[in-house]
Amino acid sequence: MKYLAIVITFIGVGLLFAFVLITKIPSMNSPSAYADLVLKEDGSSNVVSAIYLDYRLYDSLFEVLVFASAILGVSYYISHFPEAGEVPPSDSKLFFIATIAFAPVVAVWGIYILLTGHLSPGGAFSGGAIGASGILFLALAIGSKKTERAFHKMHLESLEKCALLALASYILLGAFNKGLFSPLFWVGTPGKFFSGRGAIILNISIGIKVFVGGWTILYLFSRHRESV
Amino acid sequence: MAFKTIIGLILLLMGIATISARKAITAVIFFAVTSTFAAILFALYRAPDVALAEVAIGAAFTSFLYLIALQHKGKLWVALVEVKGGLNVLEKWILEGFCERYHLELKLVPFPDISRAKEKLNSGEVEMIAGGIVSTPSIIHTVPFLETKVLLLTRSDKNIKTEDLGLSYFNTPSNEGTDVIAIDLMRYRNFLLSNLGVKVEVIKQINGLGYVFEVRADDKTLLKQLNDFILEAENTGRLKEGIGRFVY
Amino acid sequence: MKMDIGIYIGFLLEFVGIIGTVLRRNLVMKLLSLGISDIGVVLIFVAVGYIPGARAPIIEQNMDKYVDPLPQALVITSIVIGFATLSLSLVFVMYLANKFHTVDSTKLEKRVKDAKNSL
Repeated sequence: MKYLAIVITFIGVGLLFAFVLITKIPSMNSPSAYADLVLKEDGSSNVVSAIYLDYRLYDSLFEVLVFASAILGVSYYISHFPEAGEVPPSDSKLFFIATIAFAPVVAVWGIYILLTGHLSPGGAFSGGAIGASGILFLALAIGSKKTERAFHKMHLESLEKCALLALASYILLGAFNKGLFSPLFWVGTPGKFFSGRGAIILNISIGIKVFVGGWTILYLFSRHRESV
Repeated sequence: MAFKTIIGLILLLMGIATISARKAITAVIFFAVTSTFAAILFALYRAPDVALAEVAIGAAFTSFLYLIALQHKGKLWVALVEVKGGLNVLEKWILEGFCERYHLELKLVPFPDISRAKEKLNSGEVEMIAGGIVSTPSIIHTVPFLETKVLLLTRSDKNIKTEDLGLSYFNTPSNEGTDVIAIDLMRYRNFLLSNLGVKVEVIKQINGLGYVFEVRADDKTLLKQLNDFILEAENTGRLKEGIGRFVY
Repeated sequence: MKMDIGIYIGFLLEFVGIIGTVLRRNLVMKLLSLGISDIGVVLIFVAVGYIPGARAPIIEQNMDKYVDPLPQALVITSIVIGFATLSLSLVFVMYLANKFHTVDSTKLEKRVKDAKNSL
């Protein structure tokens, strides 16, 4: 039975491999053509960011929606488990100092990566996750209860809703404008900070979404416990 | 080219190590290492965006999530059938030692009679039953930790209920037509203590039995661990000390 | 067509991940194996777009040879979605562990059947 499973899996993966082998991938010949197009139409220096924030923006929109519904599912089902208290503040002084020194550095690094997603590698997804890791460091140092209270004071959840609303309205406006998501003069000078059409707005809104979502998931997992 | 091949082979090795790790926590660490090497390989393939996302989400964030989810102790759910006297205390003491050894959290669910506890055991709500279970061949049980015997009595007193005793294996109808019921030593002693003056007639004694824990049929690992623990406690003399402290 | 070494390694990684998903009985190990096969798929996509001697798709001056950015843009969202779905499935695993006190798939199957019969 075990060997049968291995053989069947091998055949399946082999079929996939054969598919890749016999398929001629068309864009292999002139991928550099993207560069000229992106410079003229979008203005971002980062071609990957230009693709997923402009040409394939619906892809990113539904990715964010999947993320949002996953968070909804997590927060619904995790409320069935017994609460097991918060993460306590760290007892060790060395650990406390190290984490509390790291947390702002990591968070600011995340914000930098988020804001310059259209100029250099990075963008909303990695920036939001790095920022949430910084907040996780903070929570390990001062305890998750204080961190959550500070988040509550900053109205982060309403900020998240605002980010989703901004993203949706940006895309809706673009949908009425024949798929051109923003006016042409937003293209800016390639290489400068204000360039890349709506890249800054989109990076900020998706980044906030990923940041708040990641923190919410980690906080819920640390508060409700069930042995697995 | 060669560098990519080396990193790729390391990636493959780490992937195999992840899926073949015995404990989940080891696999999580291997998974984080795999993610990191994958990020290096993505960077070598000139995909810095993917590498950054992989190292931020795949390596750091996912590992945090797994570690938070796995940090809790496993639980051992035990149905405890109430027996008066020191037997329950001894069983609790043994189980606490076992849970300390295997880093488990002991969850005792008290039950007044055995039939309810067996129902829960079959449906999987508890993993084992403790509390005066006698080592009959009809159940799957551990090695005995305390010797006992089973007495067959005539049912002269209506106060003894057979379903409370849970020893239907020994409950054979006699020739004379009267009901014969079986009772283990601990319960018999408790019965005598609580019903002074009641006369019961002992027909037969069945020796060579012991008190055990009953486990589920599909739980081979738990059975082996429990057996090893009880035998070790017997060999080191700790079990004898506990019996002397709690039962007699 | 000349294949890059990364495509082979990606397919092997996917194979390893699926094997782990099928053969391991612990549900957490199944999720980890799915993550391994996820890495394999991402690696295939990245390696398909690679051109030897080309630069990363960040536009610089006096540079005209870049790797294919489209596969990279396709898989970058899948990493985030992988995290989201992983957290949701981990919650479901915890839900099962809460109800049946085990994460072993064969035991779970039996216990779910028993629980259905006893209803």
